[in-house]
Amino acid sequence: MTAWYLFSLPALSAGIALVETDSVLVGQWMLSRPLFVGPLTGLLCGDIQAGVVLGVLTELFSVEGLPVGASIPLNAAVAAGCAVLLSAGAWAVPMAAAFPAGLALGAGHQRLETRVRHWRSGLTLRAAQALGDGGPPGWRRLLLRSLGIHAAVTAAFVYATVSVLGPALSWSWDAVPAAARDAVSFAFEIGPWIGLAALVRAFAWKV
Amino acid sequence: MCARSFFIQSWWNFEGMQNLGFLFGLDPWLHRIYPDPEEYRRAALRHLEFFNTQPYMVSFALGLVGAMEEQRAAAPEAARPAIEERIRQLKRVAGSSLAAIGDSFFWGALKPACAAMTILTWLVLWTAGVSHPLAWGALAYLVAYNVPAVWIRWKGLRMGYYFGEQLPAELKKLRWQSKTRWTRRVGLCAASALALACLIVPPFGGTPGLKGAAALAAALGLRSLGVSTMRLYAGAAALGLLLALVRP
Repeated sequence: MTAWYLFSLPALSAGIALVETDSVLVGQWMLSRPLFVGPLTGLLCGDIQAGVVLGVLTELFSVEGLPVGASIPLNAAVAAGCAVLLSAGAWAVPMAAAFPAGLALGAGHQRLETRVRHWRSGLTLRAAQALGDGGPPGWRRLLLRSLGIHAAVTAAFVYATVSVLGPALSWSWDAVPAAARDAVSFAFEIGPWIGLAALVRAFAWKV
Repeated sequence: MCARSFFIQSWWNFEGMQNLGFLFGLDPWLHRIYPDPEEYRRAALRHLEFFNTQPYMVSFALGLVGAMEEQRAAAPEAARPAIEERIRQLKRVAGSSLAAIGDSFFWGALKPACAAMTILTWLVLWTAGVSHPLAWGALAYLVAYNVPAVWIRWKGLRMGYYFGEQLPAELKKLRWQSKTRWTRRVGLCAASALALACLIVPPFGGTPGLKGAAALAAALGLRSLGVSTMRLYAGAAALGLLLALVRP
């Protein structure tokens, strides 16, 4: 367990945070989609099946989210990564509980991202100030600051939430009444069909 | 400039949105056409105003603005303010028009179509017993998505620069609406095939047969009524709780 908290989880959180920068900040090569983040995290955690299942489900649940204008959709990379870390990590949270927890964390990351985007407005002022002083904007420093802060915040978020939710969900799964466990498991069983309906609907009304 | 367009959103913020990213993309061109540091400084400051578009489509705007800045640099001093105003207007119009095209094609059609085809590929290859189904599916997704995305970044830069203010007419020739419609049709076919395949071979812990079909039909019906995916999932949990409580 100590190795998980000291080495594995920090490294995996940092990896997820780095890949997550692809979703908005750099490239948009789609490497940050849950279809890739899920299986890859599962592979690194030693449970690729959980990675595939949670990655595909998160993809289906987030496929309709459009990053248009100032809207920030659910962070699918964080949702998939956290769900797989919870399920395939040291606490082995059942997938039925890890999946909604991942979705909640993906939605929670939106607030954090909003704050980081507000903070980034200051970088424009810095660039304008540098240009006003007659110097270059200092692109390399500005880029490292923007990407570095975003990735660090995301990594810290993933590490902190998985550290807290892992033991909490693992313990509460056994502690809650059987009816609550059945309810969560039922929703997880129906989940693929809800996701497939979302995927079909993503095209149907527009064709 | 094409390589720099991959960083267009690296400084995305609520006030200027892609303003700093746009300047980063245009920066080498500004340095080239304005060797005088003061001229460069003034041009750079002009491009720190609000700008936003779809990230793959930004290269069209970069090429267009690059060509206009070149015109401005070559123009006599008296004509420059008018060209600056024209650049400002064109940037604003191009940003929103290109965003409409790009959002519809890349976010609304290609992304979900690639997701549907990848999951279907995984399912088919896995059922057929092909080795490394995940790797093949992932590779297919990345190629199918990124080839048009990277091509349009490159093509857009050239088109924006060479066609300048004639760009809207040239953009029409790329037949975006037709491409978007066909991509959606392919995506819908793949998504429908995936849904049917899942009814026969239930993956991801799903329920098979009639129960699955009923769940899919109910989810489709409720989605068409505007119930969000998250609410549907919460509703399924509530239904599960109800079933667990009434079960003898």
